Amino acid sequence: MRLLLAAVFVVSSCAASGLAFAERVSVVRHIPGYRCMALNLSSEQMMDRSVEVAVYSQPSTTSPKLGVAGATVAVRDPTVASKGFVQVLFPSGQTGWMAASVLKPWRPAAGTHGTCVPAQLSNGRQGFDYTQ
Amino acid sequence: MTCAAPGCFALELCASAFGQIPQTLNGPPVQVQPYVPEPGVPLFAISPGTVNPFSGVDGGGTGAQSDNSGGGDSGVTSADATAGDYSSGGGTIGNSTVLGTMLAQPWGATAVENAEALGVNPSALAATCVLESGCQNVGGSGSITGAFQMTAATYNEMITKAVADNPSLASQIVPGIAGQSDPATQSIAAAEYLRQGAQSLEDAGVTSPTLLDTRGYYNFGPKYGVAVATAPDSAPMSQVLAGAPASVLTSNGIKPGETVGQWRASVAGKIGNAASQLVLS
Repeated sequence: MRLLLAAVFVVSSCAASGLAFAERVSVVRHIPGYRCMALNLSSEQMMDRSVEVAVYSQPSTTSPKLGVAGATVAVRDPTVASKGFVQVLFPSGQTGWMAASVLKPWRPAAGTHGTCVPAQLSNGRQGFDYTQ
Repeated sequence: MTCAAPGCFALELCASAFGQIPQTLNGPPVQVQPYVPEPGVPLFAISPGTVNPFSGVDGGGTGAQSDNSGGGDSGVTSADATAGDYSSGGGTIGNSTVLGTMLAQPWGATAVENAEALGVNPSALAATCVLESGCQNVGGSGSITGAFQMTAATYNEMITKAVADNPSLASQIVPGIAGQSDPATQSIAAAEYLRQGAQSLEDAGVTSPTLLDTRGYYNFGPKYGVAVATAPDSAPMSQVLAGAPASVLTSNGIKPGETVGQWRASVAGKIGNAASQLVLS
């Protein structure tokens, strides 16, 4: 029995130390009031680094840009819309605005019932909690 | 004592994991000297490179800021650019095992200077050549060649941008496409490529992008790269990349059920502590 416990301890401890190179990233909490959406672009556009979707500080293309959007976007739920824009949460934690036309509902991978929920991550980033 | 025995046994076996003593590689590792040639195995020699000047320095530092401007009616913009063909990540002037590997090459010290000239962590550049070619100036498929395995199109685009960003690099460059086959010159293009990837991630709100983040950016494209960088280890890659062409998963060797954490561990296993270092110094 002691040997078994020792073996379990060894395996678990060594496995943990093997992850020392990369910080473990876990979900700290889900972010209420937001839901996942996806960019409404073609497969080619999604892979093309010359195609960028802007996130603005205000519901106007003339307002300062916060940056560009990734594949998954945290959109205010219920939707807050103004002048064709919807309010979103930028990964930096700032509130921004994106054209509603460039967004579509997030869908799980084909043949799965996966889910996506905006979440705060343990590395300080605002991201998403995906399940299979 | 009897009760403590299992714990002692365990700690003793894991001593190498918990009590590692940093070692710095100065020059190439000890080489096996075969006394019986093996049929079919080519003879090769590793030329001694430059001593690692970053011995004892740990990673850290901050990422760079980039400004944003312009935009169309919907906020979707497009500009000329060449699709990516590899990736990488890193910290400030971080010491790393991969840095020792690159510095063991005759062009390694020049590559470090080139990375610094563009504000890129030399360890990130070193990790890229380790991942792509083992830091050997080898050929690839199509127009891909060199220690950093860049396509001709990407090389040409990046070398032009690198000189625009830092005109002093112009004197370091082997002109024309011949530069693609010169590891020191290609290191300039590769460093620029890393810099642009990291800045793109920052534009997307991913602060202080690491080598792992940037590797995801180039492996899975700019938008899915952001999704990978903002996913927990537990996330299934198939869901993070939901909607991406199936070829994106297959060409990157993503297995069914593989999680983001498993993908991160697989990359980190090849480049060690450079994985969590920042790309921009």
